[in-house]
Amino acid sequence: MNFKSHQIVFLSLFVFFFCTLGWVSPTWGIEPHEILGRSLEAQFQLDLEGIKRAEFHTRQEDSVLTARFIRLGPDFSYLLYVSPSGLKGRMILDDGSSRKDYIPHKKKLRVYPSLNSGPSKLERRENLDLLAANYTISRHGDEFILGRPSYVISVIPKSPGNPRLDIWIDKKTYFPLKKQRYNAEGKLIVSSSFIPFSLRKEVFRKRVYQSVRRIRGERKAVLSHHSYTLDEARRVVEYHLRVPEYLPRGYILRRVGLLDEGKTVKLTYTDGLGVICFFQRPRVNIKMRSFEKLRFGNLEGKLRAREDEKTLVWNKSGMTFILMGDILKKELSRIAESVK
Amino acid sequence: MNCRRAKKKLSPYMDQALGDKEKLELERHLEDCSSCGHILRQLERMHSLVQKIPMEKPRPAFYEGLYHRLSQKEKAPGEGLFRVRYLWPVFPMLRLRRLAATVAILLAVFGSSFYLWRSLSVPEITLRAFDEEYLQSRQMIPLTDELILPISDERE
Repeated sequence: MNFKSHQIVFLSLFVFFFCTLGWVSPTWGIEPHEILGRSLEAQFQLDLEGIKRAEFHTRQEDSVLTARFIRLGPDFSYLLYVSPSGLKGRMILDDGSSRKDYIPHKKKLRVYPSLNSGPSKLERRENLDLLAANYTISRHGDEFILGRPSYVISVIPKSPGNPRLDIWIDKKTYFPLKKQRYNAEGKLIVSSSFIPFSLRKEVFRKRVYQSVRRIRGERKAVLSHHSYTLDEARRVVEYHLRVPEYLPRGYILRRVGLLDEGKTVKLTYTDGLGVICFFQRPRVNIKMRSFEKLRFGNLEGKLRAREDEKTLVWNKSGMTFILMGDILKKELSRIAESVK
Repeated sequence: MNCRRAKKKLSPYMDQALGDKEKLELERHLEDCSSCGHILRQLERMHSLVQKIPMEKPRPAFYEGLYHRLSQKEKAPGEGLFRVRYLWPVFPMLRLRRLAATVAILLAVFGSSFYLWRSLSVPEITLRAFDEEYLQSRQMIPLTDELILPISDERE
């Protein structure tokens, strides 16, 4: 192969500039997968305060939520809904061991496992690997968000019919500044952003704990984080536990939960970003306001299709099955058909 | 005739309520049996003593008062507030037992039917609890945003 002189000069310049850029900006060489991993951990390590805003395009009218957000290290995060007026005052407090969700006007307190608890940390790492296996994580250059340089990372499903995510990550702190989530059909359903600002966080923290003390006497619902194995669940329930033989590509069983004192079994599947929940319990009539009938195999179910998730409900052999997930309708019916 | 049978016939014999054949048999037995003859004499003596006791006559208005009270009791079950109280004597013990048995059977049938209906009828619930569980599972995925729309009535 014969190179002309100007081609050699051009190639040399290209190599020179590429190497210089790599040396000047050490972050250029970071893999998008690693940026995402650092971002996931950074969310639990930083001290920051600001406003979180999320626009939902999942209903007939778009909804906008605004909340005040404070994070102080790994074991304190606080979210106070500011708007809309119907949700004002709702508080989510994560102290590293549990996550309390309090709705004052309903006097309702729900307690979840902390997003930074031991099992959650482990799941976070596993999820990242799962995400890398099922999604293409790519970087689309840099952008400025609120004057802060940030990486633009896209998480695109390798097989169609799964959700997609675009995420803007602060170059300095690795905190996600903006997220855009698309549903299985590729429609934008949630767009969220974080606007940092600083106030007196420590004083605020004291006030928060005082308000938490006040809600101790409220109606409390604790959701168990305990996950069983399928065999353990089979021993507990009084019916034949069924599992779908078909799952969309990349989905694995993440956890097996028992609800209603063991009457209902919840199987949660994930591919790293998408979630499918499969519930089964002795037969009940499920009241649904709007639905369409869906035939699969020799069965008929009720389908509720929303922008951010689809739900299929059907009865068979004295049991009620509920399948939920942000997947295509045909995939939903295929999973339901494979339940043996 | 033996002594046992003869003793039973002594009182009808005194009242002259026996037939000719029985009377003849008893008289033959009494000729041979001094024990039964002794009992007969005792009975005859007791009878003559009782005959000598003077009779007490009731007051002149006794029978009128008695008839009046009896006629009042016959009317009572149909009248007044205490009807139930007067009904009790109407039911003899046997009828009460039958009634109790019927009530018990009816209760058992209704009770078991109700239990069967309760256990066979299908309860009705909404999707709210399942929606909340699904949202919670989505929240556990690290890349999901923390802000979530709560379950509203519109979602049910």
